Order: sequence, then structure tokens, then C-alpha cells
Amino acid sequence: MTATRQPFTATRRRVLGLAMLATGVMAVSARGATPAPPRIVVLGGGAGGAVAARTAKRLGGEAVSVTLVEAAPSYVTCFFSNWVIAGLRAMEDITHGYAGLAADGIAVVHGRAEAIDRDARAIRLATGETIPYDRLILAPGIALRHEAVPGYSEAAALTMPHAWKAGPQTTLLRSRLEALGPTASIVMLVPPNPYRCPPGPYERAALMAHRLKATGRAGARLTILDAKETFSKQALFQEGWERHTPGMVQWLPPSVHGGILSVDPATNSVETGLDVFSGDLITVIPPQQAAPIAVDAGLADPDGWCPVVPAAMRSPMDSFVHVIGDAAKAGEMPKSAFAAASQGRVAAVAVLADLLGWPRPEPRYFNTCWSLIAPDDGVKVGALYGEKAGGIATVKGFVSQPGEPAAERRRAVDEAENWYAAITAEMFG
Amino acid sequence: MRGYRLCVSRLVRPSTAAPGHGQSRRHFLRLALLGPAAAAWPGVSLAATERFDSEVALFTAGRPVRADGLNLEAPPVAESGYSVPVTVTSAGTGPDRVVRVRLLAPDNPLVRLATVTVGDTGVPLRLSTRIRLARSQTVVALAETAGGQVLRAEAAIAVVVGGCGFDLPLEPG
Amino acid sequence: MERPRLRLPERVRAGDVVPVRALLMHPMESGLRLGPDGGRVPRRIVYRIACSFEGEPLLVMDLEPGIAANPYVEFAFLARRSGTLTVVYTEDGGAETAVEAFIEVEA
Ligand SMILES: Cc1cc2nc3c(=O)[nH]c(=O)nc-3n(C[C@H](O)[C@H](O)[C@H](O)COP(=O)(O)OP(=O)(O)OC[C@H]3O[C@@H](n4cnc5c(N)ncnc54)[C@H](O)[C@@H]3O)c2cc1C
Repeated sequence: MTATRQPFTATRRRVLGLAMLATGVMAVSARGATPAPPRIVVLGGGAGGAVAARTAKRLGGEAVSVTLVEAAPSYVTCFFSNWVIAGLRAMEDITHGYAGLAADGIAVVHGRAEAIDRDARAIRLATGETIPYDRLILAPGIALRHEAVPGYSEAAALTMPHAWKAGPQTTLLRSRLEALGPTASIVMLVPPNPYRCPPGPYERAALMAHRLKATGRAGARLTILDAKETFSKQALFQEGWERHTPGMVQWLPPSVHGGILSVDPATNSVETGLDVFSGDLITVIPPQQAAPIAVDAGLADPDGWCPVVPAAMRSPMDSFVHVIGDAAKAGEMPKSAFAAASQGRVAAVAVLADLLGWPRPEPRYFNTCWSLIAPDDGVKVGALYGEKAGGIATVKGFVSQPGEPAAERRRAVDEAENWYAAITAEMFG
Repeated sequence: MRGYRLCVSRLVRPSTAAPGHGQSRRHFLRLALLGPAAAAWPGVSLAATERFDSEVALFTAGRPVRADGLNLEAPPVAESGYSVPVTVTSAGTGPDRVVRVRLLAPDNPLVRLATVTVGDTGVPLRLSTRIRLARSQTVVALAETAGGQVLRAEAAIAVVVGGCGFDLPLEPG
Repeated sequence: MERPRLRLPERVRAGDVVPVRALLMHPMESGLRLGPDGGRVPRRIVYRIACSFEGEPLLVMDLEPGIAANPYVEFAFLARRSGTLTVVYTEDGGAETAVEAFIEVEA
């Protein structure tokens, strides 16, 4: 609990209500007095949640109360964390505080939500406090399913970092990479779809290889053991690895490595159907699902992800709840910060339309994922999405092509940097 | 030569038959679909066709070619041409046992992919490997049986982004 | 060259079909690729993979540059007796690397 919490509190409203009941003239009084504004609560202050909260407050102004519940005191962006691992950015550059949201008039509550009481329409915090809502925008991100890789666990992640939630794991992977010798071998496990940031593992491989080569360790080898037979922007990455760090990155699909059987942190090795792969550094990106708060509230399908109605990212299981970002099953949209923010804007506008009787614009979703293949070689894939046959589908897309001129690739890097500045400004600025 | 890549191709459905069958129509189609990039280099496909035909002639050595008895499995669409899985199978035993296999990619700068000599494994043929494809095309497998017959199988593979580690065209000849 | 990777089932019965899957990490440099300096990267491929059981050839693969990097081959043979399976990789220039696996065949 911090000082940023605003005194709109449930208690005040309840006192008011009781007083009105006591006089027996509730309806008349309620009309005469200024009614309390409807309560929008956003759970999760990441790319989706922060943008949803700010959009709701900026457009809704005094007509709504907006509360953001976020467990962490500051947010470390996963986006650009690969840049940190490769030494192109510092941790400070990707760490952001929530003061800007409080300044907007958003009540920022720093605390872990323990449960959503959908019947009472309230969130219960670990402190025992409850926060009631008229509409909930749920943006809690992902849970890592460590146990889905036999031998892997939260404890094993200290030896075999995942760095798939930015923070201490990012720092750990970075320092492990720095400590490697000139002919080190690295093994990277990549999960099956769907997961956060589809091109992220391959960008990471490119940037780790770049870092090794740039620091006199071109003899190092990085082997990717993938759970998939193909992956996002595959040809662009394969071409890029070969061009910038020839022979350093090898990618093996399950039909070649024979499937991942288990990992062993004690011997730093991975057993597959084909062989045992040992490494000086093993990084495991485990399979994922929606964060526990969403699953426990009964808002997820058996596959562990939250379904949504495409028009407004509303949960088909609860019309008072919208689920956005990585936790949601947003049709053809990938799990990216860009997509989460786009969904956050749509959900905020839909909630305002519900609560204030505002017009309902047709939803438009966007995404662009930039990936670095080298510090001056960027590629991108993106699309405009709309509602199609009950789902969210691509309306129009674009993707970089192999063999583009260097200037175009350089331009994509500039675009990525501008995008980072813009999205973090929209979230926190 | 930089920036001019044989590898780059958009998703173009390969024709169902390899060169030697209606190649002019197919060639025309490819030019139309690929646009100026391919049209600027019209010699490539024709030269490739000759190389393919001579590879087939070398293997068959005048023997008739049977279209049954051999199977080539491959994904109909490959995201990337850098590494495409292919599997050759044959149920033949005894005199129909496959003793030699050749894999050909008619539209690669180097048509021949591999030649496999099969010993006495005691089981019907099932052989998998991974190939590079410069672009969408119909890959061909030729096989020779212990009895001297020649078998042929094909698989059309649409390559979304051609890749391959082939940046340079082969010098003619 | 790196160490080839090969896995066989540890114990089989006579008459079982034994799957063989062999992988070698190798760039299979085609000789048709441009390097960062714009020049042609010289060809360096594994041009032969020879698999034999107790000296008897099971499968010999002659590879061209059109075989993908990290050459991979998968086939099967009939378990008739215990013995050693050997896979030898030969690279342009003649360098060789080999891997062996013993397979115990129960009657
Ligand atoms: C290595 C890497 C690189 C990436 N690069 C890019 C990129 O270049 N571009 C891009 O667009 N995307 C990128 N992404 C993906 C991007 O980070 C995610 O898609 C994005 O963060 C999703 O936003 P979100 O709001 O759904 O979840 P998050 O950003 O994860 O936010 C969820 C928030 O909810 C909070 N929370 C969860 N549960 C509770 C609870 N019970 N109580 C209180 N708070 C809770 C968490 O603390 C967290 O702050 C990358 C990801 C990785 C791992």
C-alpha cells in the first residue's frame, strides 16, 4: 500500500448509502446528490493494464474513477530486455515507475491481488482489503509453467535462467553470458505456441551471438532446441544468424532433436530423444499460460488462456470483466506489448461506452513486432486486425523480406526505438 | 550481386509436375507471379530445366520409369527454405528392395541434393533428411531397386520465404 | 568438426526394427553464399555420411550443398545380432569424425 492510493474508498460510499437508506428517501437523494462515479478497476500494470487505465482516465475524466492494482513497485519491460542481455541497454533504461499514473488521477494500489470475487464484483488483496468494481479490466500477463519441463522448477531457474519475466532473471542471464569463455556452448529451450513474444527467443539468440562475437568469443555455439517445427520470421532469422554470426547459432526442431525429455540443473544438461546436450549455459523458456489470478477466477479455458469476445475483449464468462494482453486468447494477434496496449485502448473505450452510454466505435487492433538481428539490423512483422467470424483475424499484414537493403534494416531499428519511447510514454510518461 | 537474391520468393504454389511436363506454361506462370525480379533473369529456369533433365537421364540410363512403388513425403508449405524435412519410403522387398535413392530439387541452383546407397538393412526403405530449397518447387525422388527398376516420386512444396545459403547463381556451364 | 550425435535404443530383441537417427552440427557452407565482405564464402560441406554395422555398410549418403545445415539422417535396420553401429562423417578436405554405438540384441 503506498501514498499514491486515493481516498475514493469503498467505505465512504457505503457510509453514504447507509445514510440515504436511513432517511428512506434514497431515490430522491441520489438524484439530488452527485452520484459516485462508476468504478473501473484495472488489475495488472503492464503494457496492457497501464495503457487501459490511462486511456480510461484520459477519456473518462471525472466521470469515472480508475484504480490500478499492481503487485510490483516498478515495472521492468520485457520488451527491450534482450537488448539489456546483449549489453545494448542498461536495466535502468527499461525500469519505470507509476508516478505518472497517480498524477493523472488514477488510484494506484501496489499490492498483490489474491482473488477476484466475481459475484460481489470485488478484488481481494493479499492484505485482506477489497476493491469493488463496476468493470474490471484484467491484464495480469502470464504464468511460467516450470513443471511442464521435467527437471525444471523455480529453483532450477537460478541455474538455468528463463529471463522471460524481466527483472532479476534478466540480470542473471546477462551476467551468465558475460562470464562465458571463448568456445562456450549455450543451449536454449524454446516452448510450443502460444507464448509471450513469438519472435523473442530468436532475437535473443541473435543478440547473444552478437555479444559473444563482439567480445572475441566467435568460437562459442548456441543451439536452440525448439518445441516447434517452424517459427515466426524463421527465414529472416536464419538468414540473419548466418550473415552476422556465421556458424554460431544452430536451430533444431523436434523432428531432429527428438523432443525434449528433461533438463538437469545439476549437470547443466538437456536430454532429448536424440542425445544429451550439455552446455556452459542453459536457458529454458518454459511453456506458459494466463496468470493464476485469471485462471483461479474461472476466466480461462482448459488450455489455460482466457477467451474473449472480439468486439471489446470482454470475457464470455463474465460480462463485467475484460481480459487483455498476454492472458487473453486474441485470435490471430500475437502476445506482444504492442498488441496488449492496442487491446487496452479498445477495452477502455468499450468500458466507458458501457458505463457512460458513450458511442461504441468499431474495434481496430494493431500490432508490430520489431526484432533485432544485429544492433543495426532490424526486421518487423505487423498487421491490422478486425473482427471476423467471431474471432480476431488479420485484415492486412506486412513482414520484412530477406535481402532488404541495409538502410531499410537500420530504419527498422530506429522505428523500434521510437516505438519503445512512445509505448513507455503512453504507459508511464 | 548483393541484394539480388535467388532465394527470395513469395508464396508461389509449385506446379504439380516437375520440368519436362508443360514447362513453358509453368515458366510463364512463374514469371507472371514473381514479377520483374524473375523476369530480369529469364535464363535461370531454362538452364535449371536442362540440368534437371540431364540428372534424370543420368540416373535412369535409358530404363523406363515407374511412378508407383516409391513415396516422397514433405510439407506442402514450408515457412523457410533453409531446412525442409523430406522422407522417402518404399514398401518393396526382395527384387523390389530399393538400393539407391537420388533426391533432386529442379529449381535449386544445384539440382542434385543427395544420393543414398542402401545396404542390406532387412527392412523396407524409410529415409528422412532435411534439404534446402531456394524457392517453391516440386522435389523429385528417384530410386533404383535390386531388380534394376527405376521408380520416381514427387512432392510439391510451396516455400514462403526461400532461403538456402544460395545467394549466387551458378555460372552457366 | 563437432561430435556427431546418435541415439539407439539400449536393448532390443532380435527381429525388432531399430531406428537410427544421426545429427552433426555443421554449417554445410554451400560455396554459393556471400560473406559480410561481399565475397564468396568458400564451400565446406560434409559430403559423405557412412553408416555401417559391424563393418557391413547399411547406408551411405553422398551429400550436396542442397542438404540443410546440421545434416540429419534417419533410417532403420533389422536387429539380427549384437554389435556396433558406426557413423562416419567426411568433410571437404577429407577430415573425418565418427560416432559409434553398441547395441545389445536379445534372442
Ligand atoms: C524477451 C522478451 C522480449 C519482448 N519483446 C517485445 C517487443 O519487442 N515488442 C513487444 O510488443 N512485445 C515484446 N515482448 C512481449 C511483452 O513483454 C508482453 O507481451 C507484454 O508485457 C504483455 O503485457 P501484459 O499487460 O499482458 O502483461 P505484463 O506486461 O506481464 O503485465 C502484467 C502485470 O500484472 C501484474 N500482476 C500479475 N498478477 C497480479 C496480481 N495477482 N496482483 C497484482 N498484480 C499482478 C504483474 O506484476 C505485471 O506487472 C517481449 C517479451 C519478452 C519476454
